Amino acid sequence: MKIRVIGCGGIAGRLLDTLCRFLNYHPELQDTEISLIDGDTYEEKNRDRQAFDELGNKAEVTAKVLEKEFPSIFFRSHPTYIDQDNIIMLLREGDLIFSCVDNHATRKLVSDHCEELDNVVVISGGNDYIDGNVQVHIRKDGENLTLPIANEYHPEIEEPEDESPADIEEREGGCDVEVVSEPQLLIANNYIAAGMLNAFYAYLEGEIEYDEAYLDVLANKSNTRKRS
Amino acid sequence: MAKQVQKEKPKQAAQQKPSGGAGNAPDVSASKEKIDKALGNVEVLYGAEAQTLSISGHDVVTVRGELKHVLNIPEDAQARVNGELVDGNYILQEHDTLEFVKVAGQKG
Repeated sequence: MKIRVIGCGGIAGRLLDTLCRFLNYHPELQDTEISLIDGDTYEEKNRDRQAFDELGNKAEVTAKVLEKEFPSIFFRSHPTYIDQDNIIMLLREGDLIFSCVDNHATRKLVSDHCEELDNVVVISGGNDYIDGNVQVHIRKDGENLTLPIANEYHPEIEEPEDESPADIEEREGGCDVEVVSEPQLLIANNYIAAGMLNAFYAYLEGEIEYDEAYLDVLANKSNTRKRS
Repeated sequence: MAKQVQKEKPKQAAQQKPSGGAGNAPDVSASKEKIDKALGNVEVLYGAEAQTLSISGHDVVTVRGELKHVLNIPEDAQARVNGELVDGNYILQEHDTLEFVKVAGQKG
């Protein structure tokens, strides 16, 4: 199995430890390859929501930590933001993709690319401060079994008003740009990561019966939608 | 494309004017039956919230107004009935599922 994790921020940080432990000790899934994709760097200000043992590119630092702890998994790191030029190389036929990004522009890019593949699974999570959602796009033999991530229910993804970090970087001439972002709650990151892992396990078991799940931290509630 | 707006509201007993006069009294039991039928259950969804409410016969704009503070539904949230986009004039039917679609979480 080839797994791609796009974005190594708050959600991915909560997701990866459980995902890797599950795969590393699963008798049938030990040949898994996990690629981490992120152009961002760990900074001291990230410590309130993210665990790291050195400063540096998030994909590289995270891969280094995980490969020590989970030797049955082969890790790759791609210290770059995903964009129109590199997406063909980074997301391929047969991949299982965890999208843990922090902007709708990248979700749209990933969604459109995956609709051009014949076989792919995308599990996409996103949160606001106390709630969020998980979307599951399963594409098999060129047919969508569930809705793509960019779909008519989510015009904010179909026509994103934000910019991807790759676009911002290009606009700023390749400089590392400080993006002022809304505060996030680690507990919300954790809840969405758990929802993504639930979807992953249901997919492995062949029992996924929804396109989307909504999760709310304060109400401690989740609810799924079958849309396709 | 918004679903075709239903032109006629189902007749509700509560809206019928009593004809008045001792010799022409309204049939109370028949009216109650009509009310029960008119106010059938509709499942209302917004994000992780799901409620089953006896609101059939009401239009979507009224329900949105009644629930906007209860469920924190934004003014611009899509309204969909059984998956179809509808406008505010749509009259809810028993067993409909009304979803006010919550936007996807942006951050990660």
